[in-house]
Amino acid sequence: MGTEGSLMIDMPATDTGRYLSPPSEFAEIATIGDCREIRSKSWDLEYKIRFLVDKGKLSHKGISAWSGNFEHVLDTEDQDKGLEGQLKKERLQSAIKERISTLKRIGEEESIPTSEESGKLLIEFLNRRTIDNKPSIFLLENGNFRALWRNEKGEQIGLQFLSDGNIQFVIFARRPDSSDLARSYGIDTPEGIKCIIEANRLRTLLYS
Amino acid sequence: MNLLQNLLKSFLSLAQNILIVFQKSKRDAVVSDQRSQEPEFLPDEGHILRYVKPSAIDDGVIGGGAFLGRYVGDDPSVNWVECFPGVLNNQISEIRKKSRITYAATGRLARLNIGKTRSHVSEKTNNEHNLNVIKDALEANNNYEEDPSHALMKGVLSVDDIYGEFVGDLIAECIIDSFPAVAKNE
Repeated sequence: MGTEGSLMIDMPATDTGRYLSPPSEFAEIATIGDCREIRSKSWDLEYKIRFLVDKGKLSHKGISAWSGNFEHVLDTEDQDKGLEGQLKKERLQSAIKERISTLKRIGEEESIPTSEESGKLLIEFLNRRTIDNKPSIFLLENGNFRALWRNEKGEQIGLQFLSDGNIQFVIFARRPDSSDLARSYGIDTPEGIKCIIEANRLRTLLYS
Repeated sequence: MNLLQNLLKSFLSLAQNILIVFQKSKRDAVVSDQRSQEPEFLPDEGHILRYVKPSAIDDGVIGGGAFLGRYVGDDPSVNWVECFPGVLNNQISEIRKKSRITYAATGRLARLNIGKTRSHVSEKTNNEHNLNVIKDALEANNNYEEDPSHALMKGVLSVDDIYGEFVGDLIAECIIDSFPAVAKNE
């Protein structure tokens, strides 16, 4: 198990092994006393999140980066955004649908048959995540759609939505202790992609 | 009558075999000729233009998919800018004129430096992936004039390849600038 003073003693590591240590912002706010109090009451993740949030000791981002239970946190964030957030979400959804429709027309002109499954997966992914920032969306030669978020620092999240329900990713992320970008690529499930984005601290590319 | 038919059959069979042998030797000669032609690499200080279709552009952003092959072994076409004399505008104008594909009005021509793109891809893949740009001048035919600027990007993978998509994004990082594929006054 983990060392005393870290919430690792309370939480099992995920099976992927990607989150073996809590993020620094989490470690700073959760004291040893907090750990003991949580441990004595419940193993339930939701309880732990609520406990620390209620005590004002944890931002949603802090726990989400480590726990892997992002859905709960994202839902809470969405509620916090209220009406403004809802309107923003609707505007984004409308823009995405319009872009996909345009790409389907372009695809016909360029003789690229578009993948319905890929389009559905893209819309589903963006809707479920309550993402604020509109990505650039491209139609690839294989008929799949690809979303790309980039910032001025050269960081990026590139997601190709595959027709089998998985997502092919290419991620460029800055590390605090390196001047160069860390670059990674692969295929994962939509849930796995969320973990990868969190682990690379790239939420700011998706949320304003 | 039967004898005549058999004789005719044998003759036809012989003729067919001769034809097959002839065609094979002709094919071998072409392959051998191609092998003997060493590829001519374009210089690192040179620049290339890659035509980017509207499907690979969103609000001015060019995706790495623009630099991938459609299938395994499909080397993306590019144009060597310095093949033509004069300033950049004239060079781009010549490339537009000689294009054998119809550029879409909303398409772009992305410009890259050959050496910087090659070294970037090599460095970021820990020297595991080498990119080259080779000359592939097109001769004139009944429909088109010659295009000496035509070249191929070698070492680029296909859109279905995970690693290929990564390499495509590395190339996209090297885009210097881009120009309308169709000039406003053309």
